[in-house]
Amino acid sequence: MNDRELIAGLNLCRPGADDLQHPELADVAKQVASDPRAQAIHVRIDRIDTTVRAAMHEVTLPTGFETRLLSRIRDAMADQTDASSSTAAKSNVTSQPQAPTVVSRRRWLAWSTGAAATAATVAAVIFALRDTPLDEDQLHASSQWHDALIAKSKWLELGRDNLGDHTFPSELRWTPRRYCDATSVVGRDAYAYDLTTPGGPAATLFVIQQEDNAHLSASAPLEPHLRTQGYSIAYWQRDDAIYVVVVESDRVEDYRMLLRTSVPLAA
Amino acid sequence: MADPAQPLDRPSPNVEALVAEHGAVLFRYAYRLSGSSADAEDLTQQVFLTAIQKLDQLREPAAARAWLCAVLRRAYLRRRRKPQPSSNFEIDVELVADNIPDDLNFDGERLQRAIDELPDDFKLVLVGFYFEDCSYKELAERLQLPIGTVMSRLSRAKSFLRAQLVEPEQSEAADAQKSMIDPQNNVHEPKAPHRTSRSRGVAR
Repeated sequence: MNDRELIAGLNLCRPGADDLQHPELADVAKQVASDPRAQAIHVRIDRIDTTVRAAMHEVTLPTGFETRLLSRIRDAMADQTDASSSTAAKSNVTSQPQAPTVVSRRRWLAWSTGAAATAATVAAVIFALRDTPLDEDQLHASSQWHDALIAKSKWLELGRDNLGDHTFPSELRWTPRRYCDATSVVGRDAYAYDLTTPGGPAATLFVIQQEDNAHLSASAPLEPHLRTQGYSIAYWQRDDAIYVVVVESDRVEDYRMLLRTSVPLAA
Repeated sequence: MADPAQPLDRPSPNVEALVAEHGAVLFRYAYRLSGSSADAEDLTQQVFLTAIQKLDQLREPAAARAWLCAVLRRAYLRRRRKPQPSSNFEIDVELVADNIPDDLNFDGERLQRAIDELPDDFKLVLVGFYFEDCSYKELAERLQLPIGTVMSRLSRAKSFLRAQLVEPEQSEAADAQKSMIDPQNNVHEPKAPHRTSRSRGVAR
């Protein structure tokens, strides 16, 4: 066993643990047991790991962290409840609990500067935020909208009698089978359409009303903008609407299965 | 999920308890992943907001920390604007054991800079190893990756971290030590790990 192999194996051991007992490390364990030099290397790596592990936890909490965190959670929950009840009152479609949105610490600090920041002020700011255009950061969180709807939403069937009321982007290969009002989940005027195909992964198209230019491409991309942790997300903007496709798969093929091949796609 | 019966001016007791018990740990974990205090706070908030919605998925309260850490990892990855080109990042294991110092002397800032240099694939494994004290087998399960992939990433990430944290004088001392062992200095290969050539990929 050369040094590289020895170090590669020893790197897998946690400090102070008996990870050398794992069958994958049998050769390394044998070497350490029989070779004083290997044993010394093991001790050195173990010592360094102990130092690094301790340092990893040494992060100073910002002043007022826990209070601020609880306060932000409280506001997000209140916001969520308000949005749900307001949407339910406006529409006969059963509204779903809104996925709470993260209020950036930077924005939060700006809002809450000074003790005079009353609850009414905070509520007004949150309301104003809802009218701001969606940006890419928010679109990257769209898998949460998908999760919220897939798990709990009451979907309405799309059929001959109501299909004409909906328009879909030309890039899509399949006509959705059902839809629901996603306003409470997205936080602005939006509908969600179930794009799941038989045997395929769950997929949702969000159609979000937005006139402001979000600087997105005007057609569906050839590859999703984001592929991570089991989701693919793609978005584009056309005709005063932002289209967001969320697929419960990080395979490009699963996303492309939803698209027509005859329609030009964004690079 | 908010209980309509709960007053709106305070989170449910469960959430308060979760924040009290895990808030600081999650913030530190988020900081090590994101490298930014503001982002870490946002991420921590996001984790608890997600946790509120999915609290019914937590079957074993004893597993709350691991569950929250998993939510944090997903939230972190979702916030990344684009997947990182990790295949362009070359990391290898040290070729010469004598280059490994007896111990390291570094501050938290330097540690963070070194972590920030790692692509997410490696960073998640490394931080999980040190922060959650996970074995490589547990990491493979939690990250849903093949065990060989985790072994390779962990080993290379640790070697990279050591190389970043070693003091220049320690490095020189190690070189001197090596020269004493090998006066010709022509047997051992150059010190690794290294991060070079963007045109060369990493076998995963």
